[in-house]
Amino acid sequence: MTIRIVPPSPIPTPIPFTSPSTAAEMRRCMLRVAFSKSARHRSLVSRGPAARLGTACHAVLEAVGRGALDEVSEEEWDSHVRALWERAVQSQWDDARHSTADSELGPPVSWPYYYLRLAQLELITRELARGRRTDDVASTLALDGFVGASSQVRLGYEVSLEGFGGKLRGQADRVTVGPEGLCVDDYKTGAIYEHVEEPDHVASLKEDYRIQLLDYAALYHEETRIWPDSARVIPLHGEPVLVQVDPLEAERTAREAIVLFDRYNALASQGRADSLASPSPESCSTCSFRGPCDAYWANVAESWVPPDRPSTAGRATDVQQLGDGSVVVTVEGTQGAPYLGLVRIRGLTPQQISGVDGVLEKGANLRVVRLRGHQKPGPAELWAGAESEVWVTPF
Amino acid sequence: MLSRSSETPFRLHCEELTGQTDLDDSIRRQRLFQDVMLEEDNRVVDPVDLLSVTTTMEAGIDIGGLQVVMMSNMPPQRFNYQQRVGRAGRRGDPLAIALTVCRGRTHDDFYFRNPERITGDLPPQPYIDLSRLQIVRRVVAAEAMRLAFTAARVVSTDSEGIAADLGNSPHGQFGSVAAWETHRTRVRDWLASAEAEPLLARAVDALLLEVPPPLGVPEQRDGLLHYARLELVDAVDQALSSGPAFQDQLGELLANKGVLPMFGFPTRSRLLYQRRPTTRDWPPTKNVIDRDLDIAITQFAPGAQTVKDKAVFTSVGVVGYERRGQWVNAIADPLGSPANAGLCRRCHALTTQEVDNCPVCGEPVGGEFGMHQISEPPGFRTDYQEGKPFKGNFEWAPGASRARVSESDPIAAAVALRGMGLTIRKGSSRIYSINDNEGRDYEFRRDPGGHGWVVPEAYGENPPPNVAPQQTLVRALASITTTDVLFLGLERAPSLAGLNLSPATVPGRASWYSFGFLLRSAAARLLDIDPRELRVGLRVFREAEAARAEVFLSDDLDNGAGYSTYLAEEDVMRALFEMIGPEAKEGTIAAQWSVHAQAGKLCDSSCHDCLRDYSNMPFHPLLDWRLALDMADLASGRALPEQRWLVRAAGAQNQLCEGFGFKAETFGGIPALLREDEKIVQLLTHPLWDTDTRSMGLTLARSHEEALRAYPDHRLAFANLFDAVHRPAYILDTA
Repeated sequence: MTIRIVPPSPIPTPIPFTSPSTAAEMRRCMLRVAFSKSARHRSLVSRGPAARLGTACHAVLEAVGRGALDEVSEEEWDSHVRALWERAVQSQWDDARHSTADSELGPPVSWPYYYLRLAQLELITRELARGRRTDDVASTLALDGFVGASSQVRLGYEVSLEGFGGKLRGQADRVTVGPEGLCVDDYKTGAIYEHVEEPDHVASLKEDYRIQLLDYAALYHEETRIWPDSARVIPLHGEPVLVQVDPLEAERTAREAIVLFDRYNALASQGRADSLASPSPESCSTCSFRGPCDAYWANVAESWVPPDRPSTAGRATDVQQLGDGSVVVTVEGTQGAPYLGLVRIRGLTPQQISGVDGVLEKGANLRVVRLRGHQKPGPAELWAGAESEVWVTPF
Repeated sequence: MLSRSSETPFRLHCEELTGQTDLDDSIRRQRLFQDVMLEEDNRVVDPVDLLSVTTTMEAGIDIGGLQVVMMSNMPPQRFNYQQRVGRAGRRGDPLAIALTVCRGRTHDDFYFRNPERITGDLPPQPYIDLSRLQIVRRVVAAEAMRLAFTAARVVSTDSEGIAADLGNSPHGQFGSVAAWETHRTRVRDWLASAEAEPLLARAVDALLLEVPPPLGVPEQRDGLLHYARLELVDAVDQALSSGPAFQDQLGELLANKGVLPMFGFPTRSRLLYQRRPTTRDWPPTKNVIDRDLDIAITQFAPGAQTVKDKAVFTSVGVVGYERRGQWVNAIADPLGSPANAGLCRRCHALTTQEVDNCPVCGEPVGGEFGMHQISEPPGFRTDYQEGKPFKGNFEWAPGASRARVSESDPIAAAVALRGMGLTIRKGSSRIYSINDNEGRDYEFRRDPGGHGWVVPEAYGENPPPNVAPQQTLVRALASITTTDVLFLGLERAPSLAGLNLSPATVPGRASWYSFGFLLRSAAARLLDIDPRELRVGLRVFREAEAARAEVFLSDDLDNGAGYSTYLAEEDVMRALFEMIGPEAKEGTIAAQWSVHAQAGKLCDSSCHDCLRDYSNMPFHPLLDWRLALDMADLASGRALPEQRWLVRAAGAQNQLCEGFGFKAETFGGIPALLREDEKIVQLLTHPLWDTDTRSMGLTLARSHEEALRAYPDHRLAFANLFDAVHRPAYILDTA
């Protein structure tokens, strides 16, 4: 919540392997991977309560998938899920309180979707547990269809997979055999559909997620020499989305992941962080590291920024505290979008403009991201919220 | 009727006899009604057969024996009823009739259904409070100032340095506010002098004579003396420097700011001048109507009409008069220097800073938020014409806002009470009532005759000529009082997760007001006072990115007796909540209210046995005993007892399904309405539940998820049980 000093770019180091999710990150921008591997940069950027609850959801699903609640009766189910949930969330809160960016997060019950996620987990873990009780029998029967390969087939929950000379690794949430054949499941806690603002648009699975499923399919093939027939994304809420596995495409996406991995390590071994960047509207709009990222500021243009996600960088020409305690900062914007020139930012809190070295003063060079859209017609007036980040460049 | 009737016509001379009747007329009409005739009276024409009266005739005025009393509405309580009907049947009349005509409002309706209550309820005991330090301290201050101004021979001077009088304020003749700076040193020096000490001590001793502890003890005596001698001048300085003031006379300003006594002096009342006053009749007793300022800003607002003596008078503007030597002159600028006020009709916040958006909910100016320049006028005026004959109708005027405290005024830090969920703040605050003409303000022009500022549109078809269009002031009318205020809020605790108490919602506002009137009722029991001694209002403010509210209790009488401050003491507050709940404890208010809602004495929202009374009639549609107890439980640190509402849910579901043709469903234990034609599933929720998926609680989240799984192609909506009970048709539109 407090003001942050822009640190030097991360110094990337080679990584021992990649995973379907890291590969997805690399496809967007390899610098994001470097940022997320740097503890210093990671601690400066808010993960936010939504991502933390997502991690907690995965922890509960993983525990249930591994059989932690196999002996629990139906009557006691909710209370046991709640206990797992509270433990997982507590772990996230502990981590947040020790971080720089999330240290002021309130108690988890105040985090958005806290109870909704728990209610969703209560239902989905019931289905998961039912599956665990029936999968063994069903899968054994279905395995008869895999002539000559049954000994290779790996079914179950939290299945570790490795291939391509150890360069690509991952852990499938569940592998089952059913009416759809051999299927790899991946649980997702956030939105799974592409966001398209068109009235008649038919929702489609996020391309990142589809490719991750194919990567898992390829990994599974590497491990067992058997191609899964399908793969599914299972959201916390709503129907699972099935993806038919095309072995050729899956092989290709996995190979691409390996190419990106090799390229990353080659550049990392030369310490060339700037060469890792692939700034673009698609990549940067979802990136948490916009504040410290020089490549973002050098490339961001008006056409990149949706009206509700402005950002600005430049010299602070005025810092004024209003009678209601809020702060208005005027910036002579030289970078950012949608405005350049004098930009007035309203609604900042005193905490957001103060740090260990004191309070923001006129003349400081700022980068402000995660602003909200302007609230009234007229140019160069932006609105800050609790999620807005104020970064100060040291020089 | 008379033309077709064979009955003999009879005389019925009717006159008004109310608080607004001119004094001479009042005495004469009273006399004529009692058939006391003087020589100048016409014995055929003048006797009065029927008097139209108001509460001013309720007690203390002898109007002789009556045969019939007819009341045009239901009196507030049994003792008012008793006083009024008791006017008939005295002096040995064998027959007396009392007829009460009930109006179509909740209060009248209740007593119409329960006539035994208006005739048989226990009347409240009268009381004199000898325990409040604030009351005696203000009286000591007034006497100390009087002594100081007299003994120090303070003489006022006008702007040219010429000796002037010290004004005529009934709060004390201490000169103008502007002249205080020149008097201050002499007053301070005299109060601190050895000469003053015995005089002040005698005054304090006289006031504390026979006063029991806790006030009548030596420490309090010494404290009062110390205050008068060494702290009073600082208190005056502080009053002058704190916030807007609309008074010119120091005495009146100090009374308004709570330094001097107010009660009993009519300086908060404002006159509506029907004619220009003259020196012969100064201060005016004829051709004026007076009202308390809180009421005057509505009833005397430009365009509003007042009926007096069978004539309708239309208010057209504001004016103030003062006597200077032989002349009575209109004061130059009755609208004075304005103050800022932003009123939000969305979240009900008030701000006194100049802003473009509501600082609480973000509503922009031009939307449901409006910025106004407010003035507290010294008086109001008509068009100075004869009143028009009253034909049964007169013009309705927009009402002033409910009492509010500004979100931006300084306020004491909140203190959380250990083991409870309650936060309290106490201290002196300004309370605002504002008439902004429904957001349009009043566009005043200077009266060409120099009699204040007028609104040409208020004249109707005959606007005044020569109104200078270039001299326009756009203002809202305000009544501002400074008094001790107790604010009660809820601590932001995990127990509030999943709840929405925002004042921007109807159930949210209903819960705060219901809580406030519950506290008022309990406080009245605890202090053994009339509940109307305490005013209830809301302070709406922004905290942690959300609109939040606190309920406030303030002394309703001008300058009050300090009850609200006394209630803020921790022991008193805990005793108050002990008295309220919990529901399971016998003898508590919560236990009594739970019983009163059971079959046979069904109270589904509020009634005169729980939250309603005559004084809070404008709030009746919002008041709900379940919400009041819910809030009290949260304030006491207990979890929200969801069943208090959910036991009502099945009944509401049945009524709505039968009424609107919906199907009944249940998800996660929560009743729902299945609206098949529209493909909507509507969950019936607790009124305080947050229905935003980001912040909803576990019970609702479970129901939400089950409903979505059961009807994935339906849209999910919510209807809260407050609406189901109070305004069921609204539920049709909320999906």
